[in-house]
Amino acid sequence: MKKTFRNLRLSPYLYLTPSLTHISLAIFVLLLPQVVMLFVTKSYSNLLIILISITASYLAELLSNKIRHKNTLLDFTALVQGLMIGMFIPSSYPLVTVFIFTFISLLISKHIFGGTGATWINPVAFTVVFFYLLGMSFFPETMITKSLLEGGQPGLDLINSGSFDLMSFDSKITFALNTHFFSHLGIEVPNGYISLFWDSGSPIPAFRFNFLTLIASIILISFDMINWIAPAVYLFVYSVLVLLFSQMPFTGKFAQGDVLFSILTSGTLFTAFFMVDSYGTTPQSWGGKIIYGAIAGLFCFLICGCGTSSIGNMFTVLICNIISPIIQYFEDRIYIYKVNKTMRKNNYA
Amino acid sequence: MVSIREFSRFGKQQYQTYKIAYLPSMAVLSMCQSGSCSMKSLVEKGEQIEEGQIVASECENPDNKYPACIHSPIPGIIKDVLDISMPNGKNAKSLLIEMSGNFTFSGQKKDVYDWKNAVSVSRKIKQISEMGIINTFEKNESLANQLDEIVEESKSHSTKPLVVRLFDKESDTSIESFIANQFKAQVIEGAAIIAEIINAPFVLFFSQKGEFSIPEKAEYQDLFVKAKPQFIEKKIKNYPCGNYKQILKMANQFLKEKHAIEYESVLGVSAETCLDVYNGIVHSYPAIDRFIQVQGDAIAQNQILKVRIGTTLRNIFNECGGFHEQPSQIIINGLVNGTAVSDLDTPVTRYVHTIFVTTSRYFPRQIQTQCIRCGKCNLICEEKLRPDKIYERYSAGDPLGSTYEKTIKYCTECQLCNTVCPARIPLYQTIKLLKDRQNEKNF
Repeated sequence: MKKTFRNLRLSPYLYLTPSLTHISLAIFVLLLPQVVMLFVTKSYSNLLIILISITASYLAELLSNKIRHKNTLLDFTALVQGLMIGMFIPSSYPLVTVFIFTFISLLISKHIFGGTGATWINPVAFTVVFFYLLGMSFFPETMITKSLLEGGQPGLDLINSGSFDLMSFDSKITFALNTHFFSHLGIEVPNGYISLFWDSGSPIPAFRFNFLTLIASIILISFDMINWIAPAVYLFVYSVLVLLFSQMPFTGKFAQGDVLFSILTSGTLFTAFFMVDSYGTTPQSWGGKIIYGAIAGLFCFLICGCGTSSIGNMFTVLICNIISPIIQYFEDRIYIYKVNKTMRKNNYA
Repeated sequence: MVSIREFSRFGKQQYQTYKIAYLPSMAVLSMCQSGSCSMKSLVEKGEQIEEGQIVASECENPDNKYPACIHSPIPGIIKDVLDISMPNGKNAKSLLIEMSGNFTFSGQKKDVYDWKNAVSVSRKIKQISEMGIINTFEKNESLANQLDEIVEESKSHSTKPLVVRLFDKESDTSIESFIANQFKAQVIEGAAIIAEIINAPFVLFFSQKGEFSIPEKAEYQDLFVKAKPQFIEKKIKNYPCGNYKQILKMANQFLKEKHAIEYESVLGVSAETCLDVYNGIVHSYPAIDRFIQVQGDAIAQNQILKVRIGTTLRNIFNECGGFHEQPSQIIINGLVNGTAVSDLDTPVTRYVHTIFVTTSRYFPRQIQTQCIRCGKCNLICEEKLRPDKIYERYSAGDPLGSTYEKTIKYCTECQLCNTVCPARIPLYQTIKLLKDRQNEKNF
């Protein structure tokens, strides 16, 4: 009988995961509150940079599609990439340069490393590092100095010295948390951390609104739009290393590191949930993701140290992207070994 | 495994009654009523045929010893022979029968035959073939062929147990449990007939906990001569459930625990197949009716209909009060494993169990994008296949590699890989294509 398939739609007609387009749109929508906050806090130069980077990203995608005869504009990945690039660029970066660099960098990234999914290097991290290498002076310098480290409390010293703007509600919330929650755990959080959590005031938008980043991440993880394993392991390993070893070389004290300050001042939360587990760049198995996350956490500690690094996380992501194919190679070998072993066991030639 | 609740869009409805649909004035009788076997028509255009008359008894594949014969669902005149789109998405030669003449079965008293003593095993197998019974457990193949193979095998090997599935494989459907409850005695007797044919040592009835009331022993013990019937309730929480591999595992788990015995294979049948066997052997009533669950947010009335094969979807929807909203898709046999049909004149065949009519509101986005290597398909696959790798290599025209090639045969066709793919890549379809090619090659 002649087989004629006339249906335009294939099964299944029920999905457990949203489509790539919906995921991209969800990420965009969940990052919009941070854009709104930029407007509220009158960070107009950041807003302009985001607008320009989105435009450049779309134009790069358009040209890339023309060259490769593809149509990926409607999956909205270019929109998310443009937004994320804009959120990692400091407010002082010249607008024309932002447009040119974003356009060129994304085009290079797409054609050397591949497009969405096919790329093994995170295009956002690649572009931001590209920006950094060509304009280091525009990126804020690391605030933690050797003398602060030798003081034993670099984070607290920086907060107390007025390096960060404290919110009016900071002391009230800190007091309430200390009274009703942390006191039961025998901990007392000093003033200033709530401000860092709400808005660290960094010229780089991705580093600022840690609370909104966390909320967006929780929603995305709940709907299975981003995988939680690598980000969780990354944050865990980085936190443990900061806690245990960050003070040792300077004060000789073990387990005295300031985890909260480290996470809230280098865009670590944003990097963990939006950059570390980027599609195509991470291993696929649970084991692979755990190793990948652990390596990322280790490199983050080695590069960013106790926090306030403006580019350390991007270098971390790039290094991990380079290591990832090696992990993926071993993932494949282990898979093939396991399958062959099962086949032999079941006497299947 | 994934919780079965996640696969439920409309929620599982428990039906207590069914409606007998009107006979179609024009039936479209497909010559392909089973999964793959296409039959040769015995009748020609213009010929007058009776209700239940065999119109096709020979399969186009000569190796098919006992094909499921096809019967006319209504008495009438063959108006035309056409190639028509079928519920499985393929085209098949079909007879257009316009109703006229007298009824042989409808409205007549059913004869009752004593199946225990009356006929030999081979005669029973032949009768199952003549009654056009297919086993809807998995592949919708001729039941008589399966029985014959087991009987032949049992001459040199020990025989196998019979497992009756009294629950539905998909979360939205409830046709098997409905048949099992409504026709409990007939289903059990049908299973007893099959058990006797294959000389099964055990007959295991698996039902979903709370869906099926287990009968008293006195109600069925006289039916089984050699076989030991057992009713087992299972709390089925996850999808996939009820495929052959899982049924075998469940059966062996039970038999090992209770009787310290395990089997390499079992014969799995559905409740519907048992009912057909009962009707076919006890009443000599051919498989010309189907129970069909019609459901969805676009249809006016969700219900179970008893429909003559050859009835078109258009007639069925009219029977259900039509559409109260504009339908977007008509999906046959389940939202996970089903097929979308575009033609309202598609006829009901023996392998149709459910019809879902959905509006665009519930329809998922299916635009395919590039694989993003998220690995979700690998993590969810119960058989540990790598759907993304297989697809990637196949679509690039690269050789699959011996390991990936070997794994293909383990695919249980549950489609979980497709359901988690954010790029909406036809992973299952690719694996199925390769699996079919592999089977053809081996054959």
